[in-house]
Amino acid sequence: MGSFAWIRLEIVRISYDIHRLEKLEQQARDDVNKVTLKINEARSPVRLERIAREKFDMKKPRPEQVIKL
Amino acid sequence: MNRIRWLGFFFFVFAAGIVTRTVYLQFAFDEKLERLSKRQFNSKLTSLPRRGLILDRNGEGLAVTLKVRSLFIRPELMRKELNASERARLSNIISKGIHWPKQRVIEKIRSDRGFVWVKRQLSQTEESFLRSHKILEFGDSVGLVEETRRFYPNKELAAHVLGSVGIDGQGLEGLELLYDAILSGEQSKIDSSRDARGRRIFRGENGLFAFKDGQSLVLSIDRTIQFDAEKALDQAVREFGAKAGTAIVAEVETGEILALANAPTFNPNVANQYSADSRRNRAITDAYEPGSTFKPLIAGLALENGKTTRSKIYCEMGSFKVADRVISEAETHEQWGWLTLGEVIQHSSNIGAAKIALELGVDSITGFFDKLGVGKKTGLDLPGEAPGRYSSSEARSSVRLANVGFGQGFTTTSLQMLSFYLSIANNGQWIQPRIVKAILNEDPESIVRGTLRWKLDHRFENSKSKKIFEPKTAKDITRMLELVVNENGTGKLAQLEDWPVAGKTGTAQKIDQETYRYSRSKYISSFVGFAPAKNPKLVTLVMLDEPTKKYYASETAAPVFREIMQAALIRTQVPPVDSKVRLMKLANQSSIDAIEESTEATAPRGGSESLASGVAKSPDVKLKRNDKNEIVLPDLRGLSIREAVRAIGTEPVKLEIHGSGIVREHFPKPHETLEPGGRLRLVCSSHERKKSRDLFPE
Repeated sequence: MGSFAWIRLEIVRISYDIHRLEKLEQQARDDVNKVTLKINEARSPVRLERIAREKFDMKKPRPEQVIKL
Repeated sequence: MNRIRWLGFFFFVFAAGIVTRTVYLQFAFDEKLERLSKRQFNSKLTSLPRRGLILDRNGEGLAVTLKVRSLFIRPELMRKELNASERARLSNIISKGIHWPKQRVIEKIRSDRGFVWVKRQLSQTEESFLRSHKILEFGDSVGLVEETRRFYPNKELAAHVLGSVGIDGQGLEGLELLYDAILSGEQSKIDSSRDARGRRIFRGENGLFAFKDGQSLVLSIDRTIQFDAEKALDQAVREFGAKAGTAIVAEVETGEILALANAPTFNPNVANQYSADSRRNRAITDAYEPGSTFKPLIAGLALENGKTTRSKIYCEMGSFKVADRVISEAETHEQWGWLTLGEVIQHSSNIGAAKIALELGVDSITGFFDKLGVGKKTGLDLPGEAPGRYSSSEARSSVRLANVGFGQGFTTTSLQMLSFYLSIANNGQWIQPRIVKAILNEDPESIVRGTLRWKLDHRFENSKSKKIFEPKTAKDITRMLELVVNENGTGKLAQLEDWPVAGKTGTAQKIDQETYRYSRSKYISSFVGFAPAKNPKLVTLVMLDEPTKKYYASETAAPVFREIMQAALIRTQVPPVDSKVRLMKLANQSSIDAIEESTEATAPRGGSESLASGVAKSPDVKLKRNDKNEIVLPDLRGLSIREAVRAIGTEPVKLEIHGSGIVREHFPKPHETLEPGGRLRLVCSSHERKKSRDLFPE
């Protein structure tokens, strides 16, 4: 009788742990996605090209300026 | 005394009733009571899976899903719970928070429904505003519920490939639609009990595997090449006044699509604000008569049927009668006599091509078209692909057959034409084009070990392929296509300095939709080709629909091809065919040997950024500080802007750049000082180096 009660209590306790860890995992995944979005927005070629042009007055390299060895 | 007895009897009966009811509730089986109990303590919880990511071939995110909140109200309940002034305050907060006119909010509140969405998928700013104004303290009649929202961080980039999703996260177009089941994941319901705080208590194993997020896609698309293609195409459409355009870049060896661009385009973040015309993926949905770009393929069939590149064809001096029609060259002034097969392609002779088709005959051409895939979809994994059209019965007419020779009388899509040229570039072997490279799965073993790793599910490794030409025929066609791009050919504006190109122009008349005859003012201008010609790595197609300011493909599509192909070859690090030629142009004073020696010693593997300015190695130039903590400027003259910025490093300097290229002068001058936060002006001009500057410091 006592063992049965203990097992039931353990199930409840472990369920709470699973619930808490699931929440943490969900939150971590959400954070990863948020950061991924920010990184990708920052690295967007449209944005980088605009900064290169407007802030640094850069232009696309002419063919003779690019060397691959 | 009597009263006390009556009171006692009354309490006895009351207590007996309670005990009886208690015994009954505890031991008797009552279905209704059991149902009520289960409803309270047991629940079917629905897990919301996260939609998978879409990444480019280098892992850059193209589509990402985030959890967001949506605002709802319960108008019926609100009228019971809140008084008029509370409702007015609430509508004020909502109106300010989500930037709606107050009247619109009031109309929602006045609804006679039990549940009303106010706004789905709030932005972070909107949610923060509502929470900071304590909107949830208005009771159960207003709330924020968690949903998911799809974001496309690069906005219009690859929009037609990615597609878009609806408000409920379901795929509507493009890959989002085709791979909806894989991206969506699985919604599951798990049996569990709930405690007083709503926390789950599992009853079985099922709960552990309830959450199945969507899987992520890895595309063959290269985000940088896609950007370059879209930019060049957009510029060409505007410059030449075209109605629309398409550009596709693919890898020859694998058939992987590196870029697929259409103009006009749309922003999938707000897809519903764009017309269906903008959202159409013309590269695969629009079939048109390909015109002269098809001639090399007919020539290939002729080579496989006994002709050689030197076989001569008489081109009737510009006028060729077939049945009751007269076929002429594209330009009325062109009057060719005898041309070799190679020259027919180089000069794009309609009469030469027509004669080849007539000699081959309808059965041979029909069999070839069937093998090639004209009138059939390529099978690219994008929805909405059109097969094009070819009718063998119609081609039995000699006029129609002659037309087929120069690319009229049947239709193909841009994607199909690209795949045909890919087969020429790939030694005669056609490969099925594809866009999805792999699907990302979580590595189940790593989950057990406590780390999270991705595993590529390479279900697309073996593409379909089939032989179209013998390798020798493919090489012969390539030689003919190289002639097109030389100084005497129609495609000379498609030439690249460092990589030999093989390709073909096509300026095809469109059918006038009112007269059903070939229009004299509406054309499809296209160029399709591959590079490097002898050992092709990439194939590119550019198509402009109804350019108005100029319409010849040699002047419109060919230069766009050059720009896109060059960017793609640089990006994929295809080495120039002859690097000694490049070095000779740069070496004003130094010998080739000295430069090669130096660059071999200093260049990192895979190419060097510092070589972009023509300087073999950046001198180690940095800003320094003196005893007074002022910034001491070194001599930045002769450096490229990039090198100058690198030399500045993290010093607090306001940079002002005039011109571009190499730094000629700067103010303050070399060895002068600058206050931290002061302004440094660089005056630059294009790639002129100071001759006295030592390129190879010890």
